[in-house]
Amino acid sequence: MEAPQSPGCSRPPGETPAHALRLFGVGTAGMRLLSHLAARQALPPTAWVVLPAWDPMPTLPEELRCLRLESAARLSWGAMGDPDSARAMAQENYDRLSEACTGAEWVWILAGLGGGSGSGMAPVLARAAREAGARVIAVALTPFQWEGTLRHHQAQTALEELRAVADGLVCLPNQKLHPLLPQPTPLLEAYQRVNELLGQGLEAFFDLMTHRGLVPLPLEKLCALLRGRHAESVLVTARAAGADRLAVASQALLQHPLLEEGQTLLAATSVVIHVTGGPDLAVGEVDGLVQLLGPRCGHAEVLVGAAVRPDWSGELRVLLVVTRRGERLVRNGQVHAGATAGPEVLREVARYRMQTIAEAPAGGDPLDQDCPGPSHAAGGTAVPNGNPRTYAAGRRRNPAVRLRQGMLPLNVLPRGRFEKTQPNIHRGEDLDIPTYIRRGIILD
Amino acid sequence: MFDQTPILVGLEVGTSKVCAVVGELHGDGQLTIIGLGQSPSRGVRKGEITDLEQARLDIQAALSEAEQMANVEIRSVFLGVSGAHIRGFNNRGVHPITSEDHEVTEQDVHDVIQNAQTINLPASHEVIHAIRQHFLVDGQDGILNPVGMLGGRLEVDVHIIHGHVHRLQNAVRAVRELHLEVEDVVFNGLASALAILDREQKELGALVVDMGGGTTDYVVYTGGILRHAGVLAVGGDHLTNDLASGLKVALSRAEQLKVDYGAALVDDRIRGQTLDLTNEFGATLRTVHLEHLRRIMHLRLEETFELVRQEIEEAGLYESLRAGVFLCGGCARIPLVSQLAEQVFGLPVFQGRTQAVNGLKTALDQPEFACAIGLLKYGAQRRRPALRSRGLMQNFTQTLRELFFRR
Repeated sequence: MEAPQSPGCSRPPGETPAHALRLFGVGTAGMRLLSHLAARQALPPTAWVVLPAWDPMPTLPEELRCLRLESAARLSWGAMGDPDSARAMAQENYDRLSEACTGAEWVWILAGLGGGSGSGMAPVLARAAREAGARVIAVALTPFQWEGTLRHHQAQTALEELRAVADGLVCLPNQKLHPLLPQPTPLLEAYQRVNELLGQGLEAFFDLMTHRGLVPLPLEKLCALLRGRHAESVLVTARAAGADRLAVASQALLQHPLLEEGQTLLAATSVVIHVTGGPDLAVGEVDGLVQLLGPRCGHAEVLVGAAVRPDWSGELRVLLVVTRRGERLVRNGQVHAGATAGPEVLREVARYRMQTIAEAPAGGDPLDQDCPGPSHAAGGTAVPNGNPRTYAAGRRRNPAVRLRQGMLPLNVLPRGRFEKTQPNIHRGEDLDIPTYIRRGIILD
Repeated sequence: MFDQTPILVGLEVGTSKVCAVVGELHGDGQLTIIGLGQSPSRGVRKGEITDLEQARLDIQAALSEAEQMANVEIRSVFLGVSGAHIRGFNNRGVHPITSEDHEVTEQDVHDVIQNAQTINLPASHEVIHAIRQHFLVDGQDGILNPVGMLGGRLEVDVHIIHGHVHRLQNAVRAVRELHLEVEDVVFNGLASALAILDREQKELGALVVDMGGGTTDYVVYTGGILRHAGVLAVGGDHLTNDLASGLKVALSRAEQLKVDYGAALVDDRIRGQTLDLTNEFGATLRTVHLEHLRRIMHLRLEETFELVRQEIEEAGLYESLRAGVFLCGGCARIPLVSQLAEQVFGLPVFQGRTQAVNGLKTALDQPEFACAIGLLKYGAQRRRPALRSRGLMQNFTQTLRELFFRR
């Protein structure tokens, strides 16, 4: 049975975990989402709400702690919705913010961008957390298109700032969720519904992060996927129940607007497929999903995880975390990702060797050993011996062991009529090579 | 008695076509287009001449067509150049005012501009344009004409556009071999901007993107002066090449598909639509998806606009583009390209229309002739001072000065 992992998994209960995970909801949108999650009892142990002083004090559920920022300067009512004054206020309270982050290894920031407080304070909080020694993953919501260009612009600016500061960024564009709303949705309900949708996604995501599954995905590995400057991820969830749940969930996944008809998957560098079901979760279901999604993922590294919950009989939930890294990351690889990328590749090679040599069922657990994080986070506890067949099936199909030779810039790309001309190198890319090839888009 | 209306010719040797425009300059500075000739270009790739002989023939064909239409004999041309080797940057020149009364004279202005041009270029590069932006007298900024002002130190900001000597000379040579004089070499992007923007748009701040066959030239004007210029060696040829590679068809077929079915955005309505490729007897060889065609074009165009936007943002000029973006060149004809540019730039986007030129209506409305017409406008601006009536003595001194200070 899975127990809350609270990442330092193999420690005696009384001791504080070495890498605590803290969740911050910034601004009104962040607060609403957190309250929503709290109502569903899906929160990680430590969650804070950061609000500026000019917001009226909300009534919060007990699990949430509130950090209200104060300012010496008197701010007029007009300061609301202005990211600059929110940023100034966060700067003023920088010490308090870093104090709240001290001791955490991972800080998650949940913010609705576009308004004042979210856009202004989230980047400052991210910086404070980084300086306090934590790794920062930002989960940002961007506004609907009909909210106007100003908010949109503010959101874009804040997103850029966050991308520069945070270790990883999960972007949840509200506009993309628009098609998922039932058609005549009253304006007042739109946000509520979107919150519900996002809440489902985030709940699944935090589950993945904080609970050890049947086929576990080590936290360190997951974070390594999200980590890296300019890494951008989307969360896609589908949930279904009943006899034909696999078909329904697959359908919902393929038509999900966030996947943009498969373009997102094709452009991805890594895809995490995580399946949660009841005790009756069948091998065929995990297998079916991986068969469905695997070929659509192009060059991406695919990780598969599964978890079983006793009270979920007949239900199935699929979570996809699709990560794409910008070109800049690749170019500055040595600067930013060097520290992580190098060992990661080595580790992949090591894992590959280990698996080919010791394919025998000799105890041990390659998946756990292959992530020797600094504090051996994922090591220690053995895999729950619930269903070794499922586990084996999941592992064999885990294409993370694939060495990604296709990504090497050694293969010759067609330049067509420009074959004989001087290469047209601009910012490290040969512009004579068709864009669709460089972007890795496959025309079937 | 004497015909006071000199003939100007703009010659653009482009990647897809060679185009010559003949204009007549009237005494009041009005320009009328009286002739137009063009010929498909076969000796040019990405804006640079790769086959001199072929290029010469094409230039000849275009010029003779223009001569016939205008019924004039062409002796000299203003030549438009482009290519990835062309770069632009800002520079400042300084000149001390040494005269006793500390009055800035025309000679000082001339000297300071000369100083601004003495820059540390690679040996293989030469200056095409040094466009003055602002003068500074004793550090006072924003002076447009300092002649007659008092000061001890005259400075000028110029935008230098420079390119590779030999590649520029190739184009000049192709024209000289036809026994024609090249009056001046002009950067294509600058010419297009001259043709399209009016004074108010230059004042407000505008970006001109001339996306032709082989190159995309871009120029930014703000506050009435040229701020930034550059070239990306990507154009309509690349679209064709991408299509040929993606749809696996011949280049000529790809070009035809681009013209007939191309667009800059992928429409929801075209999902699932297919095109039949037929041979010369009308039998279907194979089918391609319209969506693929559009997506390939969309990706390339979007990337090109994004690169331009990146360049403009890095130059710190994005915020000052208040008049918007103006598209010209052959690629401005692609359906929905304005909408795509609007999405990428987040600014109003217009199809460039040639301003303040008379004549040949058919030529003026075409985005691909903007550059050639701009060459004429550039020529008109260069020649206009010579038309101004002057005293005999002034004329004489001017002639002498020109003799001694010609480059």
